Amino acid sequence: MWRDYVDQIIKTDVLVIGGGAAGLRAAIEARDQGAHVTLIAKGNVPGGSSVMSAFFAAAMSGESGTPQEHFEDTILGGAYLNNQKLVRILVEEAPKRIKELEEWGMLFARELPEYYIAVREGGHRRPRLIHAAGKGSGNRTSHVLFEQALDRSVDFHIFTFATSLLKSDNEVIGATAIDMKSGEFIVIQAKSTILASGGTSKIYTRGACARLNTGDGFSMALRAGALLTNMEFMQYIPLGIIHPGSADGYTLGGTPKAKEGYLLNKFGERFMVRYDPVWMEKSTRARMTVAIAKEIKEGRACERGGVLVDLTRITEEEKARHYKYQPYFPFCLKEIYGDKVGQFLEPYEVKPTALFQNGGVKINERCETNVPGLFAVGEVSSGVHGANRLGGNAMSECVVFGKIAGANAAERAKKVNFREIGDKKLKEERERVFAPLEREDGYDPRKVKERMQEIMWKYVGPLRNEVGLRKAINELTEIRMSIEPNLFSQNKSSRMNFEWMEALEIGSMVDLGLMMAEAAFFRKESREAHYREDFPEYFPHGDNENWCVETGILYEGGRLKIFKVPLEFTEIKPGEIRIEKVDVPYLTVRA
Amino acid sequence: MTIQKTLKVKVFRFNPTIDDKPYYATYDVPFTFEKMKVIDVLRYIQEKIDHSLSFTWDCRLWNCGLCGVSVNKRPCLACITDVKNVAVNGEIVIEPLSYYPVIKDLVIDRTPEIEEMHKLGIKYIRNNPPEKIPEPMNPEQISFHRDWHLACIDCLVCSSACPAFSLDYEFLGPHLSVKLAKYLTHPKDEGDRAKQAYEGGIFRCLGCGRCDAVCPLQLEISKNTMELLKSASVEESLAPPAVRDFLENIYKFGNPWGESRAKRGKWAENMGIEGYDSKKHEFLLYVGCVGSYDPRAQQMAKAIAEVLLKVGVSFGILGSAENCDGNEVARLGEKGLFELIAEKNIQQFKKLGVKKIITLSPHAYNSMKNEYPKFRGYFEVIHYTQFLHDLIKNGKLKITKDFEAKVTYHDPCFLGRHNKVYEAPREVLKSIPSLEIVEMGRNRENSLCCGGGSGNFYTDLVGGKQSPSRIRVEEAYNTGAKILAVSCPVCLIMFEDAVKTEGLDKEMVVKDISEIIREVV
Ligand SMILES: Cc1cc2nc3c(=O)[nH]c(=O)nc-3n(C[C@H](O)[C@H](O)[C@H](O)COP(=O)(O)OP(=O)(O)OC[C@H]3O[C@@H](n4cnc5c(N)ncnc54)[C@H](O)[C@@H]3O)c2cc1C
Ligand code: SF4
Ligand code: SF4
Ligand code: FES
Repeated sequence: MWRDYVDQIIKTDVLVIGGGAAGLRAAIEARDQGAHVTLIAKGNVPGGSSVMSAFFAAAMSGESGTPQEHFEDTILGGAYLNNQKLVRILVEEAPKRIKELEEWGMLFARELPEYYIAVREGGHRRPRLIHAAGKGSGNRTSHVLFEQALDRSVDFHIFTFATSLLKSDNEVIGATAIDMKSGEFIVIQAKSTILASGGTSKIYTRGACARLNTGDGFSMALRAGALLTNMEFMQYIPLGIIHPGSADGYTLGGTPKAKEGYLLNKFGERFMVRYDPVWMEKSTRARMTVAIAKEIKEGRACERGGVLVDLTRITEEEKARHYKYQPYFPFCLKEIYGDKVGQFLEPYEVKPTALFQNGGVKINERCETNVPGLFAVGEVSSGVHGANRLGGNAMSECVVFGKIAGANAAERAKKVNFREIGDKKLKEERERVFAPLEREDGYDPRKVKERMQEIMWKYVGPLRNEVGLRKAINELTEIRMSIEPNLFSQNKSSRMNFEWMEALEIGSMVDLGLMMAEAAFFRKESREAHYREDFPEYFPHGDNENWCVETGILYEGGRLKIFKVPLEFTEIKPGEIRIEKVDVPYLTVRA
Repeated sequence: MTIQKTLKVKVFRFNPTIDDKPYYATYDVPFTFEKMKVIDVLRYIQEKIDHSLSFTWDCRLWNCGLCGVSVNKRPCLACITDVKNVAVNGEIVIEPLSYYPVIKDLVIDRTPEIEEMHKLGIKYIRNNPPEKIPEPMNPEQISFHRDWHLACIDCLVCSSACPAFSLDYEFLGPHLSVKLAKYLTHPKDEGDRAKQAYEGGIFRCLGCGRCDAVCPLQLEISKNTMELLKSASVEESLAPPAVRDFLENIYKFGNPWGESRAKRGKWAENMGIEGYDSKKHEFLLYVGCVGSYDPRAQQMAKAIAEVLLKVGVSFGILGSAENCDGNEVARLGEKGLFELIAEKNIQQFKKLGVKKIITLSPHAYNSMKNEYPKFRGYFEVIHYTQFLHDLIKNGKLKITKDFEAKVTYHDPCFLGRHNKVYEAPREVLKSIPSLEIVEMGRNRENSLCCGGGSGNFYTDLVGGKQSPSRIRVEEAYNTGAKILAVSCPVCLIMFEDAVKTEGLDKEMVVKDISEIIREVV
C-alpha cells in the first residue's frame, strides 16, 4: 500500500504550495469559496521574495493614469510577448485588489488624505508605483494577507518542502513534501493544487531573491507535464550590491534614487550616454543591465568589478523623502557600504544581479495550466510580463491572480473527488528523496550548487551567446547524468538538514538551468531581458517578424522539447504602441 | 574590540532526536572584512566547516525575520549584526533565541507564536466598511502607526529578550503586542484592542526596555507599544486588581502601599538632615516612595544622606511633603494620573525654588529628567551615582579605606538602557582600592531586569520561577562575586528577596553602591 511509504497524510480540498503574496491571496480566496485549504511553505510564512519587495503598480485614478495606459506600458515593456488577456485582467483588477488590501488594514503612503503617493519606474509612463506606509509594500502586504489567511483558519505548514507533484492519469492530485522540522515524508492529497512557489534568481551566483526560492516549482511542474514558456527571460536588475558577505547580489532598486544620480565607469564617464542617450540612468532595467555588463566585459569596471552609483548630488529634499518614506534604503546602504555611503557622501559599487523570472508555467485567465488539477500563480507562472517585467507589476500580479487561482481551484474542488495514489510512484519518490541521506559517499551538494550558479551566471547571464549556451547545456547535462545521482548528505539527521535539502534543490536547479539555457539557445534574437551577443541587432525590441512568439517547453520522452508557441494579440498588434516623449514627474501625491 | 584575524565561535548544538542535551561546538572562522556580519560567520561554518549546523535565513537583509539568534546572550538579527560590535576578545557565542522550542541547533519553532496570534485574533476589524477607498486619512493620522508599528518583520528577537515573556502566553510578549498596537493606532480600526491587550497580560510588562534595545527595526517598543496598550486598557478600566490598588494608593496617599504621608520622612529622623530650603541648599535630595517606606531601601537612603552630609554637600529633603515621582504610574499607562503627579511636583519644586535634584532612584531620575520637561518642569536632575562620581573626580569625596571584595554590578533598566548611564556607577566602584569588579555576561545595554519595573515590585505579576530577579542573582553568583552591587532601591529589594529564595544569602550579599561608599569614606 502506498501509505506504507508515507509518514504523514494530509487531505485537503485545495493545496497551496508557497507562502508569498500569491500563495496567501490564493489561500484566502479558496477559503472564502468554502474550500478546506492547506498551505505549505519551505520557509516561514509570510516569506519568499514577497517580503522583500517594495512597490505595487496600479492605475488607481488621478495622476497614476488609466488602466489602458498601464496596459500599453506593460505590453510595450514586455516587448509584445505578454498574454494580452492576462494583462487586461491585471490592469483592471489591480486597483480593486489594492482597495481590498486597504479594507484589510493595509495602509498605503499618502501625503493628501484621499490619494496615495506614487512614483515612476522605468517603462511606466506615469508614476503609478504605490507603496506601503512603513516598510516595503511586499512586506506589509504579506503580513496583512497572512493575518487574513490565519483568521480564515488556513492550515499552515511552515518549513515544509514540496518535492514533487503527484499525478493520477493526466491529473495532478496533490504533492509530496518533507516536513523539514521532523524529516517526515508527507503526502498531501488535494482536489486542486496551486503552485505559488515563486521565482528563482538563486540559480545564479548573483541573485536578489529569497534564498529558499531555488525554482522547485518550475521543476515540479515540468516533471508533471506542464507547459512552461519564456524561460529565457530572466530579468536582471542593473544595480546589484557588491559585498564580500551575504548581502552580495541583493538589490536596493533598479535606478539611482536621485534626480542627479549617475552611473560611472572606472574613468568616471557617464557611460549610459553610449547606450541610451535619451533616458541615461533612467533607462529600463534590461538596457542598463546590458550596458553595465558590457562596460565590465570591455574592461571599464571599477575596483570591485562593477560600476559606480553616484548619489552625491542628491538634494536635501530627496534625502528627506528617503528618510521619511523609504528609510530602508539609506539604512541598508549604511549597513553594506558604510556610513559615508549611507549619508550619500560617497559613490558605491554595483553590478547586475538576477531578479525575476518572467517565464514560467503557462496559465490561462483562470490560472489553469495545461494539466488538470494544477493551477499556477505569481512568479512561477508566465504570461503577464512577456519579455520584461515592469517594476511593481509582480506584486500586483500576485494579488490579482492569487484571487483568481484560489476561486477556480476551490470551484474545481467542489466538482472532483480525491483520487487514489499509485504505490509505485510513491515508492520511487520516497527513494529519490531519501537517497542523498542514504548514500555513504558522493558529491557535496554545496559545491555542486556553487558550480551550477557559476555556470548559469557565466553563460546564461546578462550577456549570452551560442558558444556559451552550448557550454552551459553540456555542463548541466553532465551534472544531471553523473553528479546528481551521486549527491550525498554527510549529515545524516533528517531534522532541519539543509544539506539534504540542497541536494534536492540541485535536482530542481538542473531542470531549471536546462530549461533556461535551452530556451535561450533556441531564441535567436535579442529582446529585453534576453540579450544575445551574437544577435545584437534587434535589441531591445526584438525581431517581431520571426520571434514575436513564446518559447514553449515540455518534458517529453525523457527530454526537453522546445518549440514556438504563437501568441494571440487580442488587443494590440506588435509595433502598434507608440509613446512620444514621456515627460511626467518622478512622483505624484495624487495617485 | 580589537579585530582579530580569527574568530572563535562557540555555537549551540542540539538535535532533539539524538542528543540527550545541548552542547557547544567551537569553530575557527576567519574574520575577513570590516563589516562582516554574524550571518556570514554562520554561513561560513555551515558551508565550509560543518554541514550539519542548522541555521535559517532567507532574505539576507532585514526582511524575512528568519535569522534571529542570540549572540553573546543578546538576541539579534544575524544579517545586520556586525561581528566586530559583538565579539568579546575575538570570541562569540551563538545560541538560538530563548523561550521558543528548538527544532535543531539555532532553528526555533515559531508555531507557538503563530497559534497564539490566531487565538488572539490579530487582524484589522471594521464594523462599518469604508464608503470610499482610498479612505480619507490625514498623513499625520497615520504617521505614528507608520513609524512605530508597521515595520515589524516578525523576527521574535524582542520577545526572546523579554524577561516577562514565556510560552505559556500569560503575557503575550512584545512581538504580539506590536501587532496589537498596530491596529490600536490604525486610524480606522474598530477592534477592542484594550481588551485584547488586557487579556494578553499586558500589565506584566516590566518596562525594562530590553525589547527596545534589541529590535532591529528600532521600534522603541516599550514606549510606543507597551505603554500605549497599557494606557488603552487603563482608560477602559481594565487592569488587574494589584495594578488598580497600586494606582489608587498613589492617587490617594502618594505612595503604593497606602502608607500615611506623615511617615514619609521618618527614615531621616535624628540624622541631622534638613528640610529643603532653596536659600540654604543647593540640592534637593529626592528620595521617592521605595526609599522612603521600604525598610531595606531606607538603609540606602540613609547611606546616601550620610555620605552627602559627610562631604558637606548642601542639600535638603522634602520629608512628609514629598510625593511620588510618577514614573511607574506612567509606565503602567495611567497618563492622566501621571500628568497630575508631575504637575503637582513641578509646582511644588518651583514654589520651593528647586533647581538641582539628586535622585535616589533611577525611576525618579527617568521621569524627572525625560518627562517633566514636557510639563515645563526644567530641573537639573542627577542620579546619585553620577553625583558621587563627580565628587570623587573633583576630589571632594575622598576614599580612605580599602574594600576587599569581588563585586559585580547590575545596571538598573532606568539608569542604563533608558538613560544610557553605564559608566558613572562603575567609575565610583573602580575608585575604591582593592575592590575588584567582575562583569556578568549580560551587562550595560544587555543587562537583565530585576523584575521590579512598572510597579511589579508591588504588583508582583511576574514572579515564581521565571522571576527575572532570581535568574539575575544566579548570574551574579556565577561570576564568583561576593557582592551584587546595585544603584536602585527597587533592584535592592528585588534582589535581596531573590538571594534569599535562591538560598544564596550565605554566599552573596546585595548592597547598594551608596552603602559600599559609606563604608570607605
Ligand atoms: C529584492 C526584490 C525586490 C523586489 N521588488 C519588487 C517590487 O518593488 N515590485 C514588484 O512588483 N515586485 C518586486 N519583486 C518581485 C516580487 O517580489 C516577486 O515576484 C513576488 O513577490 C513573487 O511572489 P510569489 O508569491 O509568487 O513568490 P514568493 O513571494 O517568492 O514566495 C514563494 C513561496 O514559495 C515557497 N516555496 C518555494 N519552493 C518551495 C517548495 N519546494 N516547497 C514549498 N514551498 C516552496 C517559498 O518558501 C515562499 O513561501 C522584487 C523581488 C526581489 C527579490
Ligand atoms: S519593556 Fe521589558 S518587559 Fe516590557 S515588553 Fe519590553 S522587554 Fe518585555
Ligand atoms: S517588534 Fe522588532 S524585534 Fe520584535 S518581532 Fe518585530 S521587528 Fe522583531
Ligand atoms: S536573513 Fe532575512 S532578516 Fe536576516
